[in-house]
Amino acid sequence: MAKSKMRQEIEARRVVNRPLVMEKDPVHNRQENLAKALADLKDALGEEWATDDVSILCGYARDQSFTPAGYPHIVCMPGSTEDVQAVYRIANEHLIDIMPFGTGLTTAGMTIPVYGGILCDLRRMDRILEIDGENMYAVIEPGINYLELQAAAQRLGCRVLNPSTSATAGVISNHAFCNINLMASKYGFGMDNIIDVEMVLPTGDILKTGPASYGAVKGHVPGPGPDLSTMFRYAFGTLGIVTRMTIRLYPGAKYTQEVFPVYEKDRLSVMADALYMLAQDNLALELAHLMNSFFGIFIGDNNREASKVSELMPRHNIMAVFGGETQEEADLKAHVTQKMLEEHFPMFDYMPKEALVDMTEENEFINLDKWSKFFNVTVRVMRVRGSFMIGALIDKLENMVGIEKLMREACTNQVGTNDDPLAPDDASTYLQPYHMGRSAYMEYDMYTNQSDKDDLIRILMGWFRATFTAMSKGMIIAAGGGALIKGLLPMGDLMMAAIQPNMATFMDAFTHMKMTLDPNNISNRRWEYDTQTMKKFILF
Amino acid sequence: MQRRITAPREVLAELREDYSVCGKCKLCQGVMAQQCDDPRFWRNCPSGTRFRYEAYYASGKLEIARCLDLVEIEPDERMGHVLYTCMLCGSCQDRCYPVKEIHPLRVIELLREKAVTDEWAPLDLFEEMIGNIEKYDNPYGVPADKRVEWEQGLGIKNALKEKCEYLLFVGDDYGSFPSLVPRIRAVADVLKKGGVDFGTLGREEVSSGSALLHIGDRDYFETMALSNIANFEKAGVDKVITADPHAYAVLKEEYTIETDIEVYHFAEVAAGLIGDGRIKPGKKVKTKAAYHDPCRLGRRFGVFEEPRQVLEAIPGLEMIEFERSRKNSLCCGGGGSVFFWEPEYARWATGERLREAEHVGAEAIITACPICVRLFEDAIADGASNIKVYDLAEILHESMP
Repeated sequence: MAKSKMRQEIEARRVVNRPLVMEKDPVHNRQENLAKALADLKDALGEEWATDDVSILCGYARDQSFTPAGYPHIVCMPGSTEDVQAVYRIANEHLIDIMPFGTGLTTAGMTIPVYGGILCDLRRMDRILEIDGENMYAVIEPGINYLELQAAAQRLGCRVLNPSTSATAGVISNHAFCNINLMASKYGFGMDNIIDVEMVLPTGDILKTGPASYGAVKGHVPGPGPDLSTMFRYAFGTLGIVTRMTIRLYPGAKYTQEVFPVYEKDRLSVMADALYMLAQDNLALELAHLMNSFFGIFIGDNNREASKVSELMPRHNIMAVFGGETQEEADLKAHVTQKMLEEHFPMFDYMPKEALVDMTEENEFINLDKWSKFFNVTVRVMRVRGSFMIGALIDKLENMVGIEKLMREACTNQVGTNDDPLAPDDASTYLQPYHMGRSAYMEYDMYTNQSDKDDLIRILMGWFRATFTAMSKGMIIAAGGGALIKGLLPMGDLMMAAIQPNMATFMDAFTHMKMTLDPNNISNRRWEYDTQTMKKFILF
Repeated sequence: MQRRITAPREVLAELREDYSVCGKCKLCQGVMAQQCDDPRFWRNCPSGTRFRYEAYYASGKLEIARCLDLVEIEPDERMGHVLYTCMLCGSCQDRCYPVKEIHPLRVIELLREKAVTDEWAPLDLFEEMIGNIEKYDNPYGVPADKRVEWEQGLGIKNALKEKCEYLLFVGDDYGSFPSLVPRIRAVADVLKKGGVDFGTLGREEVSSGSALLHIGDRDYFETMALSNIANFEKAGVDKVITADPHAYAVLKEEYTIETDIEVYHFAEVAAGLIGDGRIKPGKKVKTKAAYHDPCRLGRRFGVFEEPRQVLEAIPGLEMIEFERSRKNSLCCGGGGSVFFWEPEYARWATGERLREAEHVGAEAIITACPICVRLFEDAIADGASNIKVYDLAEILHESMP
């Protein structure tokens, strides 16, 4: 039978309909309860701050990932910790799911509500509650982004660790997730710099962690007593909503100087040795390794300019930034480091900063001085027109070197084509020494044209191939979502146990913790308590 | 009046790739981090900053366009509010396009046109404005006889009767509000002193149609545009000066598709006259002022330097910059025809800009747009600030001997 014209048009436009009904005969999010919940939310938060208008809901249905659209049934915007408590109490009363939403800059579908429910947009909570330059910490709410906090810290002579995301990303959500630093990994990632948190648990109770919560001073040293602050890292809102976080600040540098060692040959092992030496030497304030392609992305303000910069740059680049109380001090540190590198790595060339300035002077939005101050917001996340998938690994530096070419091959063969002028294999490979040691972080990101279905399949295949390649070499997937994909694939748990022996035990422990803290399974519901498995594919 | 088409119609679906690839990176919500010195002023989207939900930012409206295109959702009342609280200031596009080559502003403009075409636009909110144009050819309901009163005693040529090199296109605002009359008189006087041969269309000038185009009523806009174009042709002018950036924008972007005219903003002409030495500001104007870049003049057409060149020539004037200046300029609240139906929200945006002026230590705001001047003055009259407001022509005129 010939298809109707309307059907043909709908198929051509890939209509997916409004994906609001996620489950057949659901226990949670029942229609009759949603109306009551909305009325209660409006009472608790104010008429303006809870809605089920579809024009508002659709704004939360997608992000930069290729995760299929998922509409919440209700969106609310609490303005305080008490409001968040009220949201959880209402959700428990009516058995509605809650999806926390920090600033919503996600690349992995992490705030897309899988089963609908209430999306809790936290951007009204946007205050820096306390910032202490002497003791170097800041207490912030979820709506604060890196730009706001960085500038506030700089006024006190401090700085926030530069994230490998944009300046408009939320600090709390990034720190609680991982917050991979692009440069200053010697201080750990964002998640290593959480001093304490205030959380609303799924029951609506408030949990405050850290020594200050039981009367001690707010300090960087946890304890005495168990430190619960770290238990909620990588929990993606499954265990509650962080409403306040105290994070570490670091001393800012009055003066800076940069060294840009470059190496033309495609030998990552040499760069790994140099990185290790620089990290151990510990003179550099910021340190990053960038392949030419990633350098383009790092500094170019759009794909075309990123490609231009990539073509001009040597294959391997190190960016080391030195700080000092005086310019002489910063210059001296840079000079000493360059001498050390010249002695041990005679094959390196050194790019003067002026060359970088010349190279980028046509780029309207690149002002290197302000770029150094606030970091480049156009890095990766913002640059990508379509979707991209992040693969992230943490392992020993030498293992990274061993696997890096395999990973690039895995990405290239499968991903094949996209509209990006940068070749996919070169899209984003960089190494970071972590905590001054030989632990390193490496990414393999794949970019795609979001509106091309075939491209989505290629990216998925490529990502899985690269990921399984990494796991087969015993690498740890840095995103740490393993615990949340329990029961997703048939035999998946057994496979995971074979590759990463402790993961199954870890997943069980996590499940029990979740069941204790969230008896109704409403906070970012990922799997069912009765079967302890997922019903739907959810990334992370 | 017979309706004709002056411009080729662009439909929303032609921008499908733009709204399909937005990843909600939030770039459109503020100024570029590299260009911002104080985080207090990083937000630059009036509707998103005020109403907070994602839909009120450009990224949310791109998502609405995508969902409508995918037939995922249908227009509802809230969609009208979301769409028509945008001030069309273009800050989102200015941030997004250089990085991702997406046109959020164009998508929003076309979404409004779609809303009007598909009959779900909340046109009842603009009933008075549309009715005024139908009755008086002016969105504020000021009759033509009243609108030309400002010309009295200035001996300005009527371009339809006397040949002149330039046509001064007054626009919707200057002749409609008593507070703006001295400002347009200053425009005319500066041009005269500079030896510019100009005239106006007098009573025959009708609304530029800018307000109609803002709300997405392209058909009606074109009706007004064609009426003016017919008079341009009758007058035989091919150079048009206007001091109204909203008129400037439609003259330059839309009218020029139908007729061969050169369009200049007063700031461009005045900067040229000063550069050529044809006018010399000599009297001191002692104040510390910040220049507010009107969205339609600065961000839309890149006219940033000319107004500043004019101001630099004025002795005694100490110029400072807003935190958000030039491309980062915050809308005064006068964009997108929002003030016709949401005056309180428009006033909130004006207040934000006034607070920023106070923050940088300005005693006065100078701008080159009658809507900006009017909104600032109205907010100040309501006690929002003590800052003085100047039109560019007004302060230049004050300094001329």
